[in-house]
Amino acid sequence: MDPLDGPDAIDEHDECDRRLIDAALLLVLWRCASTDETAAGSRLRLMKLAFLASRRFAEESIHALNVRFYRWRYGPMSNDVYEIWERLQRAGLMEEEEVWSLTMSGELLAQGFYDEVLGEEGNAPVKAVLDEVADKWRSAWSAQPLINHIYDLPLSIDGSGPAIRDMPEGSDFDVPLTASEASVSLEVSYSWVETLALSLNPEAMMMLNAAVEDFRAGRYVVA
Amino acid sequence: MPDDMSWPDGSGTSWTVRYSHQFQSQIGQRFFRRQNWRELITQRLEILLSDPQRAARAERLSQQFAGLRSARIDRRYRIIYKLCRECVSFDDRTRWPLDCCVLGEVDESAVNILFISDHYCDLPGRFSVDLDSGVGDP
Repeated sequence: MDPLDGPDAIDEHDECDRRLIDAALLLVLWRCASTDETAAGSRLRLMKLAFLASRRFAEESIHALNVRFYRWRYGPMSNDVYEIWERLQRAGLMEEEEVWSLTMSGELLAQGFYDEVLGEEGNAPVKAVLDEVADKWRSAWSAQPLINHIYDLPLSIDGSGPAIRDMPEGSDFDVPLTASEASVSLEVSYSWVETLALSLNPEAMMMLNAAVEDFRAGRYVVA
Repeated sequence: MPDDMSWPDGSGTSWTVRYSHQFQSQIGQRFFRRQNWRELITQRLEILLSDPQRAARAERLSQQFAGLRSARIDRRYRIIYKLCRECVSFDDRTRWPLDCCVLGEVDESAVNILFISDHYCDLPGRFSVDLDSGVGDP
């Protein structure tokens, strides 16, 4: 028996896999929330969209996006989202000039994840949240309407507590629900996790092209 | 192969193994030259060849990597390969075509080892890697 299929096998996605899935979810969100085919918006806009999706997941008791936020100068802010931007940029899936845009590869990956992963029946609640946030804010190209909306929200998702605008800078928002706390969890097949890992590996495409060229040029050995 | 070490040749199975120069170059790198890595990769290749469509946590890939497969070496590293058999059964000939796809001389028993992917190369510090051996948790 394959030892990796034995009792020590990893049956749930670990933190590294979750990071890949977070990147894919946000890529989908930012693509869906765009009126343009590829341009997604400023850092401020994309950050606030990520927060609103994260909050809606918590309100619907869904375990999907695992990014943490804290209150900063212009509202919710996340170092995890910064990390995701860097990964997506390194992998050639997004690029930033005046605003962030999806590249053609990013567009294709987002569409594939949306159709094949979020299109699964069990993931319908996750897809519904992303669609809802995207539909609501698609026409808000400026981040200011999002910021105003977020500032007016109560800190707690049950509607209690002060408004977010009154939170002290540097204080943390609630952490995302774990799978055991949530009613619904996003399901991503290992096949798709592997695809995401390769898509986000900046060296993968170069090595793949080199290997394919090796075979076509006869640079291989038959063992 | 880069040195006198023999790599799994599919003997005892119905598979023929072809290793790309890219794979050989990676195996020749200092990191993978450590004995325990070689043993691990050899072991994983042998497991993979016992059933290239299912063993070693083999997965068919999607999207721009459709037509390819990944198999697990350990938690972090994967063998990326292509099965000639699937070129026929899934009509994958136009996806990442190799020499056999182009020449139309498909040997359905061929397992084409393309390269090793460091799946989480941009997430340093998130793995419990033994710095002496370089081998991480499976």
